[in-house]
Amino acid sequence: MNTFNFNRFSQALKCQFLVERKTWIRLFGIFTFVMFMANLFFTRLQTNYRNVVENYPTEIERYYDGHVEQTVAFGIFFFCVAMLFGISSMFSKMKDTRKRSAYLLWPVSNLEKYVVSFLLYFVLMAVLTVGAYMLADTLRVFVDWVTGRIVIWGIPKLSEPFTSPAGPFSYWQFAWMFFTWVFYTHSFYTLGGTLFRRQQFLFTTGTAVAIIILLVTIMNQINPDIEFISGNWDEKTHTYTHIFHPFFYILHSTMCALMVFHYWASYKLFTRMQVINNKWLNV
Amino acid sequence: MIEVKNISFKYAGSKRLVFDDFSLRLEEDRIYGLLGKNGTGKSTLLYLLSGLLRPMEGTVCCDGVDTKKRQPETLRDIFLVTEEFEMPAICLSEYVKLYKPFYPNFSDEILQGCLADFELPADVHLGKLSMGQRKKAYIAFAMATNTKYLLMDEPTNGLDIPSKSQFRKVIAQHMTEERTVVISTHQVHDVEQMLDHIVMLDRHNVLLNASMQDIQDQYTFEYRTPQQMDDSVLYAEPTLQGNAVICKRQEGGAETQVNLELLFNYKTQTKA
Repeated sequence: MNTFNFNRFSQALKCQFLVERKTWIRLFGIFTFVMFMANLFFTRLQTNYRNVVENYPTEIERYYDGHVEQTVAFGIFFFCVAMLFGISSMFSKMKDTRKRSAYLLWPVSNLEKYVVSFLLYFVLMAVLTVGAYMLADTLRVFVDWVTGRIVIWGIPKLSEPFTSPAGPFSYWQFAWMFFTWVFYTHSFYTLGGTLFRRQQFLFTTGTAVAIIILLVTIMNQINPDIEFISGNWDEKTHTYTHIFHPFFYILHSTMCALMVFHYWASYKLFTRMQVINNKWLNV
Repeated sequence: MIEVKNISFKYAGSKRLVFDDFSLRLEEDRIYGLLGKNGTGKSTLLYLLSGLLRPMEGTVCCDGVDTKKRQPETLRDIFLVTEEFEMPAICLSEYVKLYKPFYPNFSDEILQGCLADFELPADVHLGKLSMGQRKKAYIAFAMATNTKYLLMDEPTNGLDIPSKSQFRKVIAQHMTEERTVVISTHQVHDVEQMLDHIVMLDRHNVLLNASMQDIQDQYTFEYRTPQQMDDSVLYAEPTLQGNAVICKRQEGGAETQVNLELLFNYKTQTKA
């Protein structure tokens, strides 16, 4: 039996995208509107632009640049929330019996259905959110230009947090830590989105908060006094060298293993879904 | 052939078993009528046959493949017309274009024929149809998929009076030797003329599993006056036309048309 047929998979991907296209267009509109409004908030309500132009005209570029950076920070935060919201909504199309039976009886293999949903709610959601940010930034720049303000784009600043010398790629350990935490969180929300039958984002976030509180409480009781990352300042060369505790590697290796488990468990849960399940959980 | 072997099933959180050591075999080229009181598991059985539910014990195999695996090769041979169904709010022609590649035996000719019978245009927007019209579009698509197994749960619910006869026409026209149709319904009068096999469900098991021919060979269905009532009557119900009765068919006696409602009441009340 063929569990992954590329032709069938691409047909299924096209089919699901076209059937859901109105939802995606609506989501793109909402995201653009929210980010445009946030841009206006950071560049209009939070600034005293006229005062700076009148009193410190040479400082205006530096001043306004700082406010545009706030829109970028908001954009990155919004992107993260949208990605988690997206992946936890991966199976929201199966929330009632009618939708579940239609989706489960679709003559596409479980693996193909899972990958189609994963791609749409991961890759397409990412493209859509970045696109919405770009459009919102363009609209904000247009408003600035029309109202005679200095034109500073936010789009090129999107990559700055990652390319700065102190960014996550200055050490391979930092890059590893960065990707591990990003994908660990993503995998956790993927599992939550498959496990919970309704309000997946809220329930997954609630579960994550509960686990964090529990872990912090336990850690406080144990008080292991481990410094995961320390460093040495070399007076001669004026360089700072990071030192990573062995527990840093153990922690992140464990997280990588858990991340793989989350994705695997999410797929297994999906393959075992039935048309009539528990009211709250897909078990 | 769909073979249900010794299955046990209960819903999560429920103590009551819907099926307990239940077995059934559904052969090709037959239109099965699946009858039973509310809560006897008709819809559950259809879900189990199509792999939408997993039995706790036993197996449900469709041409030798376990349906709970929901393999595409099996799913493209099964179409379940559920009582409440989901169709996206797009044009029917677009819906067909998007979904027909998943059914290798899909026939545009059958679709056009069914739509014409149901008096529906092909370019109709599914989001703008009434419930009954959407059901007709859904049944037309189900027929056009040409799947080997067509399972229908209360297909005539929501259909108006002319649509019920159109439905019978559509099923009869497109029935083939390779096809098995299972119709679960309470509206027996809507479908009794086209059924050729009856499966009656009782709690946990099968109350009756017989072909219409066997039923006709065994029983006669007639109306009698109170004076005509005698020991040959197995079951009777008073009606405006007199007593509707089921009698044991005598050797050489005339064949009568099956009254499914009467037979159902006879079987469920006497558990004969």
